[in-house]
Amino acid sequence: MKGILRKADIVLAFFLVLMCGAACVFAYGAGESGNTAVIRIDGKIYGTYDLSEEREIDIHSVFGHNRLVIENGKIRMVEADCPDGYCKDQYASLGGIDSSEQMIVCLPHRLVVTVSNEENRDEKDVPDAVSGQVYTSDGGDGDD
Amino acid sequence: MTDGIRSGQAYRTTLSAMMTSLALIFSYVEMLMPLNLGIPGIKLGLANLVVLMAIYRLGGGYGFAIDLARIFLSALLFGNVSAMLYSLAGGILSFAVMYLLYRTKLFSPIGVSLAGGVTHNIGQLTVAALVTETGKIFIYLPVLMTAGFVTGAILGVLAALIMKRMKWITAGSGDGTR
Repeated sequence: MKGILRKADIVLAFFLVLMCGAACVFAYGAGESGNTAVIRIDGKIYGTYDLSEEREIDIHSVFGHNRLVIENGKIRMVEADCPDGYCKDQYASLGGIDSSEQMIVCLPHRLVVTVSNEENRDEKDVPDAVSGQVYTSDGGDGDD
Repeated sequence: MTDGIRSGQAYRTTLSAMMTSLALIFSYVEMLMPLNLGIPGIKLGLANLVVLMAIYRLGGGYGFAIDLARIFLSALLFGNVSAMLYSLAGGILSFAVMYLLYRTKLFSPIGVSLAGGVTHNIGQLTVAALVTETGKIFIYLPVLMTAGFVTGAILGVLAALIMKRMKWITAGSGDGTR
């Protein structure tokens, strides 16, 4: 290693790290929160669901079984009989997804969940359904 | 050292054939034993090690030929023709960047490989975005750039160390490693 690495390499590495940071901002910062979950199976829309309505969604497709839960204005995957089960980990620590740049993908079942904003939906009485609560969705007052 | 043989056309042809075979074997081994990091689609890209060394030891033309031969042959041999478009985009873009950086003579193989790893993944993702017609897929860009950075660094260090120890792999062109 000694004598191999050159000054230009370090400058380049630094530049690439900066690029990656910019990509992060571009990829993760551009999303806007939405009020509707869109579930697609094999590219076709399976159903759209209001995120302000708490419910469970059971899906039995030709590819397999998935169960999603809408809670606190977010949707997440709780059950899937796919072999790897990666979909259950996606955004699980955040309580689910509620923003247009996020998505849950269950590749073996060709299932994709995204969030969008339905313009013509009148929900002025629930202004806070999709904001905040990322880290305090359960037990925000627990001081034990 | 018989320099006459080492600079001859036969030597170069033989060496590039061997390197193509080696790259193919690397592709095959990686297919048999995928490096599972929890993120689908990320691999070390050992074949790029060969391409990198070919650029340094045989020159850009041979490196490019080896890169292309490796992509076409592994697609045909190992049955991944549908994925060839991705390999081609990544392979050509990363080759172009690596060769340009190599030509500046400013960078060590580590720097060249770093840029190659990152641009390889950018190329693949761009094709994925064009194929699926969703720009949304660029959400994976930071992940893939980081992965390309890490794998590029690993391969660069490997290439530098190998070329340092195996000085006999040379064909006159290229300035060798430092």
